[in-house]
Amino acid sequence: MNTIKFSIAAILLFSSTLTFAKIKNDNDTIVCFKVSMDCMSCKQKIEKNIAYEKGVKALDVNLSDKTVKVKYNKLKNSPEMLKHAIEKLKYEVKIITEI
Amino acid sequence: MRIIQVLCMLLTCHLLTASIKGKVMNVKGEPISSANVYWQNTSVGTITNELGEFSISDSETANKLIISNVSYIPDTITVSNKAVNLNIVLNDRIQLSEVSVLGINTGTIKLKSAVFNTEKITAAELCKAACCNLSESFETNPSVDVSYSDAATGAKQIKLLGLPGTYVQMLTENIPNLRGISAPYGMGFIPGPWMESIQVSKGTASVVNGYEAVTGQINVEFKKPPTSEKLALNVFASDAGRIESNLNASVKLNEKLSTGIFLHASDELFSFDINKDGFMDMPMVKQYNIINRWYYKTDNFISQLFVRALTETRHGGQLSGLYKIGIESDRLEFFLKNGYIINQESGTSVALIISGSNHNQLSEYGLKSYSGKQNSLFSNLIFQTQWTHAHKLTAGINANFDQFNELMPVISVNPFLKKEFASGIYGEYTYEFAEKFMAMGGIRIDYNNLYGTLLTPRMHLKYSLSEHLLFRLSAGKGYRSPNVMAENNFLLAGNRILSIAPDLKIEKAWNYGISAIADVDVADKEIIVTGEWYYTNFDQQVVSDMDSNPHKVAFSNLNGISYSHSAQIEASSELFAGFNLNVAHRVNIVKTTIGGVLRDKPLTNKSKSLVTISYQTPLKKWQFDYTAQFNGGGRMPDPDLNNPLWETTFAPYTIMNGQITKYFKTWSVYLGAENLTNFIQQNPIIDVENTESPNFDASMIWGPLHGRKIYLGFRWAINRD
Repeated sequence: MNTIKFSIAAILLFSSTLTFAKIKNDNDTIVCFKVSMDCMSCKQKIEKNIAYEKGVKALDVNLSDKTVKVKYNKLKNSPEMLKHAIEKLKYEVKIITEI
Repeated sequence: MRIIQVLCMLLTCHLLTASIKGKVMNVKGEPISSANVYWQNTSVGTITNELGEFSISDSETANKLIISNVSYIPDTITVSNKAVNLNIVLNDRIQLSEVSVLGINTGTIKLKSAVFNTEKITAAELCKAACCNLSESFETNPSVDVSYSDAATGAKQIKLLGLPGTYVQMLTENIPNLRGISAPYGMGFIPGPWMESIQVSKGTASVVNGYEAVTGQINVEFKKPPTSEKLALNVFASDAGRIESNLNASVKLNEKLSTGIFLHASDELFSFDINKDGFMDMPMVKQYNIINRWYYKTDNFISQLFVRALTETRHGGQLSGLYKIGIESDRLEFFLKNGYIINQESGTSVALIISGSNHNQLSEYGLKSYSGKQNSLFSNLIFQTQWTHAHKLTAGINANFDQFNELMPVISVNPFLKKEFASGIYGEYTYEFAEKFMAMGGIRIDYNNLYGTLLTPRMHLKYSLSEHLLFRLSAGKGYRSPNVMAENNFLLAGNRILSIAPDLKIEKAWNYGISAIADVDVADKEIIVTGEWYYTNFDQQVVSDMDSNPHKVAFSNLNGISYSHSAQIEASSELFAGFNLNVAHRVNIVKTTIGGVLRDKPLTNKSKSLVTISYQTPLKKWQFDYTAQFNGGGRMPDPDLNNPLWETTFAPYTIMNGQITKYFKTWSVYLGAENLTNFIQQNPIIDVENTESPNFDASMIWGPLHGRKIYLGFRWAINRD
């Protein structure tokens, strides 16, 4: 009985997390940067640091294309500030698209 | 903006048709300079610069690039899209198991490139559970079982392929370790935050590290100074009174030399007796542990020095009565690894490994005592050459010396002195054909001063039917020198009479295995399915007989047959971004001739199922992990027919663990619970109230000894750039 109880609790915990993850906001926007990264640890460094910039909701770091796509809340951050945050990690950054 | 982007892409494409660009790095993502990059069957080539980058003119006749550097295993890349910058990862040649990892920090990885059936448990996987030390690092792994050896000392033993951990060769940094006296408590000597990864290889192993490894190898890689955190701190506390702290620090003194120091301290603030049997449920363990290591690397030379000192005390037994258990362990160990590249063209290198340890244990179990000293020295001279990508030869000579001095007054021969010296030569040839077929054949001949000449043949085959289906076959022989008192002195926590036959022979077994890995696409989801079967057949074995007499445990040579079948099936998939599910089921049939009758090995689960669920939010700020282990039942040693004090079998039981981790930029905090359903084995100590009685016995252990445990931990690190 305990086994079933805990299995249900675990599933509920996971599904509640996923529900939160799906909530969307009209102020969300996406910017794409070209970044001078060239190794797996560079990708991890960018993921680890940019995730904690203000308003960042999602991140896609593509090593082969050398692009970083950032979904963020435009009331809390801007492409220039995000560009500056990546530059602080000692990479050259160009904004290539704003959506 | 979009026009500029398109123009940039066109320009890039135009430039790339003239030359192929890329970067060569090791599995850590560090650039590899001076690597040769050339088109197969042509003379067109280049070398990488200091940043590991290269640019090579396009070839009209070839589409396969060969990348080689003497410190690494060469690789051949088929270049299908010449417009894309290549990121190439080479594997370290010094590592004996051929690890190919493209994505790091992805949990447990099945190593497809290795000829061995190997799983790599990464540091990320170790963060999914408390993993305070090595013994707790297999909670999310279906292949390795960990259980308490007895109800009083906290000693833990692992099982692989249904057989005890003594048949697994334990390695640290690919050097044999934790053998003999250190085996029962050694799993607790390796703190979790020190480990970079663990490799679990099932079935017969390489011949390079000796004739041991009957059922497999478990290798622990510690964090390395050039790549580990500059500074890292981990603190941990549980409601069971356990507190632990770990501090790792490393510094690059210059481009070639780096050093690291790792500190561990742990203690139990209070003891507890939840089952009210008068005995502490767990002993109070206090440990101080320190490592200092040095790493020196030039273009053709690598040298590593490692030293470690450890002291541990365990206090258990009755809370208020006179029956006390005290175990003190002190250990010093070192290794020195030197690798020299003789010829870069032919990939010829030589390595010399020397390691040693001094281990002292003083223990008291009520009125009984055991003290043991062990000095060990191991050396291995390894020569490797790879004249083409297809042919590789490893050969060498190694020697191992163990000196035991044991005192166990309940055994007639005291003190027990043993000097065992084994030296051997070995050769191992690997042939790889068209990245589809790989064959490895190895043989070694050793002379052992106690057991004479030992011949060890081993063979591995790997065949990729397609990119999505891979088969492996292995067969090989292994030996193990028995150290009965050293490895079983925890049995003194009870009144079973120990009897050890005077003429114990070296254990000999053959292991055969077959396994397959398939990637299956179902509804656009990739499911990785593995299936495997291993058969271990003992020619000679030291059998522990707890059945013939319920008040005795007798160790004697096998008289009859003894074997183990272990079959496992596993499926894992990322069902959606960040959400991973892993399901596994294993069946063990382990039979030994005990007292002239072929019987199931007692205290061994007949089956095990494991479900792990892991979810990481898109920005990797939260992680949720849940594991459920469904352990099958099994047989107990025969109870006294006239006065049965325990059942003849034990029932299946379930253990669940969960953990939530919150990540911040430089630190993380984790909250978890082990044994969520609070399941414990009732009355684990037989006749617990009468410690003088012949029925008093703490070794009838098949299940967990402590109930639900809540823990909280904190990690902080400054990572290396």
